[in-house]
Amino acid sequence: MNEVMKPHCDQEFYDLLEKLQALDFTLVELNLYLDTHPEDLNAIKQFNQLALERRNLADHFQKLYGPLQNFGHSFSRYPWEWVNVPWPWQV
Amino acid sequence: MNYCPRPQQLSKSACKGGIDLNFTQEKTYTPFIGPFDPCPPILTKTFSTPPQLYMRFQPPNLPQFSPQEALRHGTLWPALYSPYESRWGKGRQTNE
Amino acid sequence: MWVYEKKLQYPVRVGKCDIGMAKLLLEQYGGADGELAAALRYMNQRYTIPDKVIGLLTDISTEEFAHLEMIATMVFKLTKDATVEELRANGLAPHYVAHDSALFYENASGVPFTAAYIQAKGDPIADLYEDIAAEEKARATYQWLIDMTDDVDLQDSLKFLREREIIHSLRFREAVEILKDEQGKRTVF
Repeated sequence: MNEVMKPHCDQEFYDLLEKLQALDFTLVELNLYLDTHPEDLNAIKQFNQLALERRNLADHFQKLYGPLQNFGHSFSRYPWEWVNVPWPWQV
Repeated sequence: MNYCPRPQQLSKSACKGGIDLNFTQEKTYTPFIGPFDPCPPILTKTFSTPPQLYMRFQPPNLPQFSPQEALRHGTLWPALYSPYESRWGKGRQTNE
Repeated sequence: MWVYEKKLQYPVRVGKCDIGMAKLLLEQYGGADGELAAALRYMNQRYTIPDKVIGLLTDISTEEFAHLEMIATMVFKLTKDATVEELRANGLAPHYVAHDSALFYENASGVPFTAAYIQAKGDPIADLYEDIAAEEKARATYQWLIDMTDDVDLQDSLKFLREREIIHSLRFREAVEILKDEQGKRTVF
């Protein structure tokens, strides 16, 4: 385990994870809404704004707790972090 | 908190979009009770009638929950929120 | 192409060691109206539906896989520390002799998942009406699951999943409105 990685069991981990889940959930909702309302400009603006906020929060989260996505959508430190941080059903 | 109260508490003009928000999310009916039923009767049965049944097409610019509230409610829009309570421990729920 | 994200869509907490509930939750794992059936149904129908609603089927299907992972998490948490005696006392002996504590795509009665649960008729209205019905049946299943437990933590996650069925149902209803709309009349927006 990389020494700079923070533990996946403290309150800060769960708080940050839920913040990310909340942003991502709002994006899911807006995404499905826009699938049937493709001309709602306000919703598109909100979607793009939240996508930006989501990216910043995910970057911060991953620096503390390791990669969220596979196949090159997240970076890794040494040793290979993907297999070394807990899975969603373990935390 | 930037959202409207539960749909059934709203008047028609309370939320934008001109959708009918005067509805209840639960309906009841009284099932037939026979003279020789072996068990004590359930006098009233209920079933869910959630908001999607009353909104043909979602109007734009409905009031929203904050992201944190949206996650906890399972939807971004209060007008589409549907509460459900477990029947566990509630017994036969006969009409008093 | 899909990219996996190492987090649940919604936090899953199980507050009570109720092993029997694991068996019941399998209805939404490998049952006729479960999350696997939903995910596979929409992901397959999308190839033969007008372009206007392909995005919706793709996105809802993808969300259903996230729900499948939430159900798996609940079942796993409830069974991972169960003894053979506890499994047997909670009706999971038949499951155990076939699978140990492994998850399996079956319903609450142990019937294995089958593609016969899902349809692709090729007719956009027939397919979307099946999808709306599937969402309402899944919503009802979540209600009956919520009724079967007094664990408020588990109820919380199940209530989230029930609400998602309501949103998906609305979106499929809107898709029908889009497809039946007369050319150029735009009555739905």
